[in-house]
Amino acid sequence: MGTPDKFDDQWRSAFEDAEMPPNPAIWDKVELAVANSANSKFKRRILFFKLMAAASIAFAFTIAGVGIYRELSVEGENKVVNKTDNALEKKANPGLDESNLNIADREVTSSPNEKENYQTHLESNDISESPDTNGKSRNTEGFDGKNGNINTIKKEVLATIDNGNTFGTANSKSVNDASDQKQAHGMVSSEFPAAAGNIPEKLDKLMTELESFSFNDSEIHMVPWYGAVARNTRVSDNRIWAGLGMFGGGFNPTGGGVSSESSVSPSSFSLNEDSFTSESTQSPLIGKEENGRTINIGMNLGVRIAPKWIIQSGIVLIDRNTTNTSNVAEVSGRSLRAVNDFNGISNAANLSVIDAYEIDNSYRFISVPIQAGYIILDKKLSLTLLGGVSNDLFIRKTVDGESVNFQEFNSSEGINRYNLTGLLGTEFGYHLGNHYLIALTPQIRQSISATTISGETVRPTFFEFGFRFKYLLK
Amino acid sequence: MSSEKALISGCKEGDRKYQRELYDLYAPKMLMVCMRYSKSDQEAEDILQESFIKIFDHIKNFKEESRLIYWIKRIVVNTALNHGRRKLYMFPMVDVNELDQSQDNEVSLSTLQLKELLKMIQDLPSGCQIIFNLYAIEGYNHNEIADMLEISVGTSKSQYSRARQLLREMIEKEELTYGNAR
Repeated sequence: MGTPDKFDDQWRSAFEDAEMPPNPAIWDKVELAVANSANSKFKRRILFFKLMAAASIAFAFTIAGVGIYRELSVEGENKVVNKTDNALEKKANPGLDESNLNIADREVTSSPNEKENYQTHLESNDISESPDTNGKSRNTEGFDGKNGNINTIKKEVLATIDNGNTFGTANSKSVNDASDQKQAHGMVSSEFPAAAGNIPEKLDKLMTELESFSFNDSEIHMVPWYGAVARNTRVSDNRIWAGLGMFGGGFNPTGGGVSSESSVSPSSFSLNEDSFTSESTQSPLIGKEENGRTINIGMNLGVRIAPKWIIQSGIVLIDRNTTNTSNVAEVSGRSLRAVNDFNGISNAANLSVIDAYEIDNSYRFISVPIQAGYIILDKKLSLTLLGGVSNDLFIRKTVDGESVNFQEFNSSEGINRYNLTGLLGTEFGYHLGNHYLIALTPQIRQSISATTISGETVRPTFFEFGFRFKYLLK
Repeated sequence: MSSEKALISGCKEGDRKYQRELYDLYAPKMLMVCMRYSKSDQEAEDILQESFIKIFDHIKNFKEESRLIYWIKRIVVNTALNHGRRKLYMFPMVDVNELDQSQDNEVSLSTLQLKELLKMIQDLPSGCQIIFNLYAIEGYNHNEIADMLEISVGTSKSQYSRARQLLREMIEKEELTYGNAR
């Protein structure tokens, strides 16, 4: 500290206990600012949920985009592969009947059962095409070198599948398994000795063409084909389910589309000053609704309408809460009624300006959501992108002041009976056994129609995070 | 009236009743502090409002190692200095020659009212006003003032000296007016 002299001491003692009464309006402003500050802390807390909802939706869109891209790519490239197969076979045997190509044209899957069926079918075709009466050779009569060539290629395809190799490597030396090698190559020499020992000239020609054919392209095209087979192994075949869910979240009650003023005063609207019975010097201040919180509880039913598509609906009870500050109250006998908006002031009989207080506004709705979902991942863990609309029917609004002196009352003034909101979210599910699924569901709910019927257009956005428990019926 | 401990505890919980009580208790004293650092009533009220918002926002961090009034006053003075810094940015302080302070001892404030003294402080140039308040009334030394305002110690001393000279002139002028009136 410094070392002031007598002059400074005189100044210090003059101001030591000096006081000056502050303007009462300062406290109102302080109180309002403190309430807003508390609200902003709440906003920071719900920011986490907002970010989580936004991130998960972005993630789901990315996954969906990649999935759709892959699916489209596979479809296109499977067509190329099938065309290549057909072209090769037609070149091998231009006069070959379509019925003889039913195996080659058929889409080959990697399922062991299907491969077995395919093998059996192939062999039975071989027998029928070249009946073996002596049991020595199944290909003595009627063996056509062209058909033999096609069959050889088919068998090589089978050998390739069994070895997990691509079509392109079927001709390579990568077929290491002895049994498969026998199946792939030995069959030509043992089961089709005629073909092995007497290769027609056309086969030479075909081989020349095959050598000149760019197998590299086919090889690349075949890779996603295996991917497509793997993706079809869906864990869940459940078609119908029923579930219970609970959501919580936050929203900005003003919808971000109204004046940025945090409070209104009588000058903002035509107020009958005679309504005020108080002789208080304070000016009436009513803060905007803030601190929006929402809790939804409901049940839903869903059905899978296509391998990747679902629809679901249900019924939900929605409780939304907001707070605002006011220093205006309606005197009703010995109790007070909170005045929280313009309508309250214009309709009230006996108004009084009192110390600022906090008002709790509670809105209740019954909602019927209808959502469609696209299944991105359907395994033990599931991921579904959901979108739809929700029909929200307003039930009641409850207004209550913070202290016991206030009388709670219901109101429906200024609020639309029906609100339409859009829903967009994702559902991260986890299968518990065959019949149960638990899911976390971040979602954004955007009001499409205005929630109020007053002059201000309020379309709040709700950021919600929910939990669902589903029972899978079949 | 609640005890200081109860007030602090209530305010830490965000209880509006205790906040109001604390405001009623300290706002009149703090408004006078704000008046000393400002040029007008409106500016002082703005500082007071901003200060109490900060007080209620940060009272959770109050460790109760010192008395509440000192903690509150520090917040009010810091808020006032932040307001003052804006003015100092517009009108930066410059060094002036230090004056002989021996003549000041003869000056007496006893004949003057608080309102007149306040008016004299408010009429000082911004730099002089802030430094006189900090040095003569709050009791900070020039090194501390230099750190707080990010100025040199010499500037602090010269501004203080200038403030004394101006105040002495104002007091003499006031006494002369009183003398003529009598």
